[in-house]
Amino acid sequence: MSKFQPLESYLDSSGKYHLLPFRFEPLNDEEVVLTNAVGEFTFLSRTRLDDLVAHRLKPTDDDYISLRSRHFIREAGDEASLELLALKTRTKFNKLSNFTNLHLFVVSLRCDHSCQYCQVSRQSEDKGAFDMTRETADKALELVFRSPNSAIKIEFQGGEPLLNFDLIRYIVEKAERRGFAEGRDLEFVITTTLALATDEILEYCRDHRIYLSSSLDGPEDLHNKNRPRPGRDSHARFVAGLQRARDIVGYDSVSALMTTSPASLNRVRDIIDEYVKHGLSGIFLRHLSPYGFALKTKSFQAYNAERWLQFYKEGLDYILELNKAGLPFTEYYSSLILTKMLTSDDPGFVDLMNPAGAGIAAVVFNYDGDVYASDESRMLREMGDTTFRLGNVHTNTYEQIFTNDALLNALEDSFTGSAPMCSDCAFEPWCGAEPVFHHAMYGDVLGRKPESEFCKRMMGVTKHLLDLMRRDTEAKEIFMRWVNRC
Amino acid sequence: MTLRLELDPAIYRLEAVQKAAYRFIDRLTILISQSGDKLVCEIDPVKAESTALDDTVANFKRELLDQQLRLQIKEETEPARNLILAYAFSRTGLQG
Amino acid sequence: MLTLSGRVIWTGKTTAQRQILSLSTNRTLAAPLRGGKAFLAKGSGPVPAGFAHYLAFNSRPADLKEETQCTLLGDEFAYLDDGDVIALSGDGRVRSLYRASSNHNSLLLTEQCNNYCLMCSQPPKRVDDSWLLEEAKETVRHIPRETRNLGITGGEPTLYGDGFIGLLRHIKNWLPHTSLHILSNGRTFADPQFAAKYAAIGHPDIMVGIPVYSADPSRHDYVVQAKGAFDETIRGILNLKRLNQKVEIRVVLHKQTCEGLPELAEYIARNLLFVDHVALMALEMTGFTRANLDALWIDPIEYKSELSKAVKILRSYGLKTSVYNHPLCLVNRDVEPSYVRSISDWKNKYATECGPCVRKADCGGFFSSGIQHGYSKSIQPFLA
Repeated sequence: MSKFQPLESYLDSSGKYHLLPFRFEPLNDEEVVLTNAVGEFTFLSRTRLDDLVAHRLKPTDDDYISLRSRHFIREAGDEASLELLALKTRTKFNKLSNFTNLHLFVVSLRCDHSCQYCQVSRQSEDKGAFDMTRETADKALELVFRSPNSAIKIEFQGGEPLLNFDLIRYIVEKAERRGFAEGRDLEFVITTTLALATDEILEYCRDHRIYLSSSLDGPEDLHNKNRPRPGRDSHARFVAGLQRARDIVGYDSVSALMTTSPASLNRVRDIIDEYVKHGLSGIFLRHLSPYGFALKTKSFQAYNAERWLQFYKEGLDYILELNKAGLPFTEYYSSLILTKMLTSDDPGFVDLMNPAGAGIAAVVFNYDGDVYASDESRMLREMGDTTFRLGNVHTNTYEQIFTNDALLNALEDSFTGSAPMCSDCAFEPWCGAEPVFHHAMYGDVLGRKPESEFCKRMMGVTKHLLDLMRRDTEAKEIFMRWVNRC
Repeated sequence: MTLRLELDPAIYRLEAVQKAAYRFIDRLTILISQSGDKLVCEIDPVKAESTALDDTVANFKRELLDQQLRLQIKEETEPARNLILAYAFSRTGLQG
Repeated sequence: MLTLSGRVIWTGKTTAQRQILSLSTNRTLAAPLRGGKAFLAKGSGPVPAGFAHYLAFNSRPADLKEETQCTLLGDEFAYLDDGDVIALSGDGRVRSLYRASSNHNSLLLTEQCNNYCLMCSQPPKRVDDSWLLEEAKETVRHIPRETRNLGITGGEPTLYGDGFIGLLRHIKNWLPHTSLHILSNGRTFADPQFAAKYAAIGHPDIMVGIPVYSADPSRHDYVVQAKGAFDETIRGILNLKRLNQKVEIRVVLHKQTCEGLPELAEYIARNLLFVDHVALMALEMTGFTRANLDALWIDPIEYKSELSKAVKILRSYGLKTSVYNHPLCLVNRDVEPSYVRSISDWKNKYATECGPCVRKADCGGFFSSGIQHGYSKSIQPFLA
């Protein structure tokens, strides 16, 4: 029997190791977080970072071992780490070539609500002026099926889409026939307040497996303040609609999104409680969009990234408390970022993609046939800015629309890998290009990131999530469950 | 009174200076010229607001750096960027 | 613990050269089939004529004709039964190759290996044992066609290269409905051509179980006593997965692997998320383990939180995970959804402390080698 060699025989004796691509960002005075080429992270003290870069780390150091297994350094002979990094990079970018998945159809601008922060809807009975026609829908569907993606999601928006339900039926059935013939995986969503959802409408949704995405801003007083309608009963109608939708279409067929207004900022726990009360499985803690309301009333200042981050942290802390006490409840915004931090997957969320999700992931067909690179682009138009209008379904081809300079320039110029600060930022793999937001706020698609509210918000959220994972093992375990929900 | 800014073309390329000047076209009138081995910017406010002018010019100087960096990084990262964008459009049939 | 190999009771009559026999206890077996089988005389009743060979316990059956060849076995082989396959060598050795009543049959292809694990339960021998490959081929021809599973073990079976591939094709031909589970260190699959040949077999239900002992390449290399093994093993796994082959990752838990277990779980979740199964197994007190006890032995109760952490991570990422061979009282309850009652029946036993335990039916028990050579001092019966 040959002798057994000790551990030392299997350690590298040359003391040489190679750095693999990584970036770092300080968390506080003593510590930094490192991210590798595919966005995996590890924590290190500043002194250790110096040692690392100066090649002073020894194979017996705990940090050395961890850095090697997490693909921040390699030894000569570590071929597997290179193969794995390449594989993970491919996985990360895998869905890009599927191209456009989300197609928004603004079937009507008419609405029964007059929400404070909405910039698009019209109080009108004039269907001719504000409803999408069948001809427009037909042309738009032609473009939808030009996408190479085998998974197509059609989302009906407005105004209140249910006010043009006949057209929704028309589009759904036409798309189903075509989708079936082409072997595509179709998904339908209607964003609606549910206030006008009759049993007949709900049954149709059941029969055609249409998801309902509704709005719940918080408890009744907050919700109704934000979302006035004749009868002042938006909240009550939502609750009733939710129950009926669950009865008829199915429990998981309805989800809710909140819109954050200045009034929401002090009420995050109440808002979350409201979501829990109605049996929703999670909440998306949204930032305030700068379009319409905020820019018009110039109260965006009162509502900057700092204030919002307080709101977010308080909300997330409360949600973690709920999870630890046994209630599975997800914070969806954090989940998106965490998915990029904890897996090699990309959640495909339009506003958090690089290259930007405009066009590549989502496109909007407005009621009048105009095509926009994103939902925000359409809102900009309502404020007189048509920068991101890519064409019209009646007058432009797929080629003209998707190779429109407005789109291509926006994609290229906002590319985070080419942006000052972004290209060095440790968090870039987890972040996204937001050309429309930066254009609206700062006049160009890139902005100056140090001055950008988007950047401040993202960095604040990311550092907070990193901090939580570092000091709270249970939080990290909860996050792992959130991101791996199949 | 016209403010004169002298820039070292080894640090700031003409293209960057032009782009920065353009971003401020609503607030500053900037005449760009060459004098010897320097790039010169002659700056006047569009509206006579002397109190805000210092801030605006300070902002313009920051913009110079931003635009210069944009140029450099854009060039350096062109191959990787083109690769990823090409991959994104690779199945649309839109590539020439 | 069953005696799988031993000696026959020498009768003085010289038997034929090494032969592989398929056993039957069926006194009314159809006549044309008898020539290909050996009759195992169990219980009372007349000995049927026409079999190729006869086996009996302790004494020759009275009604057997004088000239008929008969091998006598001791009571330690009383477990043998209908459908089993044994090998009889010319010099009186008998080996059980296949037991029809067991779910855990394996073909041992070689005792050679290019690793040298500290805890190897089948210590490598540097002898030419390629006759085992031929024996395996012959055994396969005798294994009942309805067999559900079959293991392929060693040593390192893939060292045969094309011979290994050939055997797998042979098994696919003779036992097309049998699920195959291969134990391999995976290193040979780092050669893309070998991996391609393996995939080309096109077996409908085959999985390779490959050990990965740490996310730290040096630690893994130390445990398997081979420099560069980790790198080859991972590349082997990647090659197999590129070709859509099923892979299971196996981890033996002991002092050298338990501390790094959560880190290994994260490594698997980030890099090898596509593997089909992760098996976490307790240490067997056999083979090399006893020679390396100081480096290896740790009471499983001391690593139960690392085990819980690792299982939590793996399950969170949706990886199919199983915990094998641990007494139930030594793991945390949160591990139980992944816990399997698993010790191969021929190795299983219980300790005296287990007497009053009410959860024996849920527990995997012990390796009998553990009962013999040492086990946890923390065994606690469940009393409620």
